[in-house]
Amino acid sequence: MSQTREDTSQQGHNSAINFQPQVTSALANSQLRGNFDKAMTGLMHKRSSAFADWDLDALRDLGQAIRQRALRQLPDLLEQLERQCQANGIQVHWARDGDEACRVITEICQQRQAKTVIKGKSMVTEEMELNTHLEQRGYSVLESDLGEYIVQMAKETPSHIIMPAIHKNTAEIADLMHTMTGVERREDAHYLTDQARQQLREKFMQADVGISGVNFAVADSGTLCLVENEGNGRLTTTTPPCHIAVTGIEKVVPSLTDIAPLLSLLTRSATGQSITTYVNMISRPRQPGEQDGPEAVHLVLVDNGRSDIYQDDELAQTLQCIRCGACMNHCPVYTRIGGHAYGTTYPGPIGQVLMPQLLGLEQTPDFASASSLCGSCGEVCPVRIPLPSLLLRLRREAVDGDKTRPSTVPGHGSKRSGLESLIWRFWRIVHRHPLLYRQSTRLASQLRALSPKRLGGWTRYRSAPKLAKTTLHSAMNARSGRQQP
Amino acid sequence: MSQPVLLYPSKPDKVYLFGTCLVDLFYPEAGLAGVDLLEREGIEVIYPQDQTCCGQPAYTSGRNDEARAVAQAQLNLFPGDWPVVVPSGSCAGMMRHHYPKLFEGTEDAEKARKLAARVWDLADFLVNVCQIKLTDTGEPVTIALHTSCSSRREMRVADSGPALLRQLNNVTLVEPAKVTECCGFGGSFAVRHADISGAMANDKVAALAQTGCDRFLSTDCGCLMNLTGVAEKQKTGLSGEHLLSFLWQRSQSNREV
Amino acid sequence: MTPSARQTILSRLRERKPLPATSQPDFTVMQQRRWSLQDGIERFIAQQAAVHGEVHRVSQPELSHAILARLTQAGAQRVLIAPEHPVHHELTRNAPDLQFHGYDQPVEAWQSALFHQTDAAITGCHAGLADTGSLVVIPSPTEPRLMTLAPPLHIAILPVSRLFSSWYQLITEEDWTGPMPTNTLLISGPSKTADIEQTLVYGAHGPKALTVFLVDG
Repeated sequence: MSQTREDTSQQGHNSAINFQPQVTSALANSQLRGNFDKAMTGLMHKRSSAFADWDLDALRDLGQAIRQRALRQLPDLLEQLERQCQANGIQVHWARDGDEACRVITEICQQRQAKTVIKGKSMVTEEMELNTHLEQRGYSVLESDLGEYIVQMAKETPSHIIMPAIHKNTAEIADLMHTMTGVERREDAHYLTDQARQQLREKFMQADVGISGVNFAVADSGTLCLVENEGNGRLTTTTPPCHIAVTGIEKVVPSLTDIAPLLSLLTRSATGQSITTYVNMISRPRQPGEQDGPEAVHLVLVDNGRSDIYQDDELAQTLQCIRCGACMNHCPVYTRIGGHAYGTTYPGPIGQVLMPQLLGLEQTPDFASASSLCGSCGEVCPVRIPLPSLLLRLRREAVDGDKTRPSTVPGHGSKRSGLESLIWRFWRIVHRHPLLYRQSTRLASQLRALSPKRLGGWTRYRSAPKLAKTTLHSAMNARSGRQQP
Repeated sequence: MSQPVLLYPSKPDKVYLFGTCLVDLFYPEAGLAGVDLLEREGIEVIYPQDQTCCGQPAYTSGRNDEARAVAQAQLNLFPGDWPVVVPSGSCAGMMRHHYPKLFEGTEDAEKARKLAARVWDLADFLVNVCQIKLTDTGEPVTIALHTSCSSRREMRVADSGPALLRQLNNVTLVEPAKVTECCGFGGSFAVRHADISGAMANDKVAALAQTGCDRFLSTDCGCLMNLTGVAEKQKTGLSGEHLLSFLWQRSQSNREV
Repeated sequence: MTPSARQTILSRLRERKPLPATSQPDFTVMQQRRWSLQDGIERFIAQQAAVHGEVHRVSQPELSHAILARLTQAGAQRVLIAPEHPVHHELTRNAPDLQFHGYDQPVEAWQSALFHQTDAAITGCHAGLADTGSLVVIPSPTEPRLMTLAPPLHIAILPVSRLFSSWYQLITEEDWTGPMPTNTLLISGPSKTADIEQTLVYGAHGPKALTVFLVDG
């Protein structure tokens, strides 16, 4: 099953994400499950060996402290970043939401009379569906990251935030490139990569505008850091005469010293690399006397719901994310259903926490509950986002389940069904009254022969649980003299 | 922040047992085995008859009000200073790690915090507080252990199961592939997202079967119910039981039986 | 007048009371990543090798011969090197058959030749990092940004005296605060991708090979 770009255009509109049917078809696709299982198992091993010679707890503490300090100073840092970028000759733009960001970028393209746009990998531009927006206005837009290039050719969306085409195997990619670009059909990653390199080199030279994401923005020097392996990010930000960098407002940190530990965490958590091939730090457009680099550099700071998330102490931890993808690599749910089943820009645990906050709980009714709360995501998060706790928080928000704490997430209370509330009220009565509890559990075990053999989804995969002949309460009662007086 | 190192108490003469609702209804023998093991260590076990449930099912469903109401009914059942031991990682985790948060800002906050600090996973308690010494009286057997995610990642006591089993000379402990991966139980998750949960449980049972073990054990009744249910439905012939039941059966001398 | 996006975002962020104070960052774990010179050299070589980079230790007098040997091995004909580079003179004298060019005009004037007709580029480096086996490269008017990216072979010259334990050590010791150069790069091995079924392929969009000459003395 694949998610096409048209399918996801529902995001931000008024229909809920169709999670369950997408899960069903993903689970039925053994090829897809095999692809993900193999990839994620490898990534988990690579991550753990990459941290073998580190004091990982201390490094994660540091990563968390750096991100939390930066968020605490967020508005000041954004102003400082803007000032410093402008002093360096980078033009800074602000956008309240994705549509506004798309408009800002289109205007820059118009002013430059651009026709062709080449892109480096950027999740925030996926969030705002920038490609669709630009294509509708007549621009030719080409993704240059190999995985994104493949996904774009297939008219799909990324299924992983770091490895966009992880859902496809070599045979599928060979077919695709053969059909779309006419190259020989060879199931050989080296050959296919080399073909893509040749195809894209021409495009880099012709492009009028390069658009990239940003991994970290440094406030005190006005520097944009981009992390990548392929070199397409460097080409995107160097070859075209105009570079537009797009970033969520949460990515700013005070200084370069903050980047060093975050970088150590990011690449090891993401792919188990001690560093990526390139860490590209851009601080200004081409200066007099320099022979290459864009003559114009723009930075677009995108809010798109982040300042709302920022209002809540607990949920603001979502914004600590450095987009490494470790939570999805380690998630038993993601590993089985893949990124497309989520139907949103960000899949996996971080997507399950972030997307309901961005789109509203009524649009993402299954996100918070689609977790066994096994804790793997929280255990590997390099900046210690308490993902399981945040999932619990969203479950509570979905049913307005706590009178002592007001719900604040858009769409809160949208799953407050009458029947479920009634069941919980009944559960509460039984479990608050010990005598009632003891009588009903004793009765249940006496009548265990009558207990149902089919229990909805449970017995689709399992036999029904069997009540014991006697309860522990009764058994302990029988052990004389051991009860509480 | 990284979790502080656990400071174990010295071995007490009494403990409270919080049996948990799943043990109460489905696996009472596991609770009784825990009591037997503790008593053999010279510890008197107090079982408050008014206990019901820790509140976790409601809590993980977002029903904090209901969870708090039920949890609150447990807060007064353990008035003495003695440790509260729990034969299930997830219920122990609920009480130890989530009660303080659940009651934060309420008049029971202090009481909940104090109780939470006294809650221990029973198997971990046997290893690290009782420093139990087990003698194996059973026939040679090959065993695989599934440690629950709560025991592993919340209570951080994943070492205790293997530590106990390694004391039994005739037990060969084998490790399933992807040993740290969740079995797919997750409470209401197993019903709300039955297909994902089922896929996870199938994979876990396959990994357990792959070890060639005679039987598998778990530290948590939720996992146990999930995995034995799948094994039975698939007619794998693989059976599972609670770690504590197994330990008690294996380590009784003939005189004690 | 309707407020600008900038005003709206900043005032929304300032609407709340500041996020609760948390612990201050403790950089000890970064400071601990230190190696002696000898261990650092070994680690640098091992880390480069792990990412398909090649490191050769040479003395200053051996340098130009070593570079020529590498160029010959690669079959390189057209080679980029800044005429100002100390090794340039010796290279041109010892290898009259090879074509050595400077990157001495704006890229627009010769983009196609740069991308299609250049076999190798030789550059200096600002520093090397033992921890990750990285080169710190600061492009300049004589060694521009695409020089380390467009040709299929990148040869980098790194004096042993410029080897640091880690990037953190470099930026704290050299006090990299405030304004930065137009572009600064950490380069670790040749470009690569694993986007096709996790198969590692070198030479994705940038160089297919990276050779570092670690120069003693």
